[in-house]
Amino acid sequence: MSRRTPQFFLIAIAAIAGIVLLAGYFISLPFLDGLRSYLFQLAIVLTGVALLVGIINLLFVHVMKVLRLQTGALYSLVLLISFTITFTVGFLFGPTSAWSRWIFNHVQLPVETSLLAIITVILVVGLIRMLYRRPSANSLIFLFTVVITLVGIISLPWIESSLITEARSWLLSVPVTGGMRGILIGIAIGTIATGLRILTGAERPYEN
Amino acid sequence: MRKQDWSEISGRSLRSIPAYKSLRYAVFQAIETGKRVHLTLGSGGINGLRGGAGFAGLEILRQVTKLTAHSDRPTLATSGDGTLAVLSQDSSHHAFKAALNESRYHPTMAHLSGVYPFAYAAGSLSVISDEQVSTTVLVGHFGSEIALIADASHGAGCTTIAGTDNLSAQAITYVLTEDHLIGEEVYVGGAYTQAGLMHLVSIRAQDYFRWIVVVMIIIGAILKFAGWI
Repeated sequence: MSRRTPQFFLIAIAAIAGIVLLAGYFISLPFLDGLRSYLFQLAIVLTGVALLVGIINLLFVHVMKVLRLQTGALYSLVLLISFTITFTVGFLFGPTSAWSRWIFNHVQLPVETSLLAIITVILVVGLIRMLYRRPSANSLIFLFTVVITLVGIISLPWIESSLITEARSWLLSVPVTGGMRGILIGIAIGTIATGLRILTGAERPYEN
Repeated sequence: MRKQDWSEISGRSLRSIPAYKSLRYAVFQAIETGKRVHLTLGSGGINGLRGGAGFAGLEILRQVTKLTAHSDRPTLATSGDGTLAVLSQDSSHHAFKAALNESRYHPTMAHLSGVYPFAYAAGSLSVISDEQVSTTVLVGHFGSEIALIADASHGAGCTTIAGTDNLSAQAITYVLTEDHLIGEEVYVGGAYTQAGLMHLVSIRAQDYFRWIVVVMIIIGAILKFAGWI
């Protein structure tokens, strides 16, 4: 068996699975529907296994960091302890138990909310930095759109709001929607091209 | 050193995209200075429409890892999805093999940094701060967590290059990064990093498709204006 043979099989499996799933959207045959459903189930199982492999890999990375006392080993230790506690609680009491919900409501939720709040600050600072470092016409248009959009949804007593609300409405429905559609069409074409490259075996992220 | 992208070197006539020029420059700078390139693939996975951006990121990962395989600090990849993590390990491994330096590869060079978007971002931040990173490349599906990674990268003095399929995240990258990929630019990374002739052909096909869509939109607008539809 030549070295190229396994690669040929991998490409054939990926291409056939892709074509069967794609054909299922256009042709309705009992055999094809059954095969499509089976492939979907297989994909779900494989995604679960991949997640498990990923988590084991993540733990391995952090265990090695702690054992070698690398920079940030303390954070890795916190991650390992948190993982052990969460996993033990989930394993013993179930993922929807009161203890699991307590961890979610008192640890994960506040942390994620805080990070969202930080993002607001990051964006304001980023916008000022952008204007300072890239004072171009595009940057000014971006700033103008952001200001009109934000001011248009809040009511300020000392500003005549109807004009701003109309300007906001026009901005959102004409240039913003037009631009968004243009970008989305580009993304759709790019996604189709990427899908075709994978179906034809030109792009093989599963090579080894 | 004048910033060039790979397409200029290969002699192919491709439109110049500043972010890919910066990518090439930043990768060689990382090799020269003995620092690391950190490529992060988002948390969109490979299923559905989000998968396209993930695959585009994997192709760039392969090319960049191949270039840095012999450097002091090879490329490190992080992702926020199990399947992407496994595929990034595979792509990384293949790149080391292609660079004839397979013994150097280690599975920790591509890993999952968190399962939820914010956990993934937090995991990626520690890579930026602890691994002597000089360049952060963000290509894949991201939500608002991209702001945390891009800002941390900027704070660490790294060159940041970002491309995503999510419109809100694209707006964030426009503000926070100087080198960003907008719309379909994310999907042409293979052609701009010399992944092969098929990628160049793919760009041509994308251009033709775009012209077809433009013509269809114009025809539709004329028909609507004339009251025929």
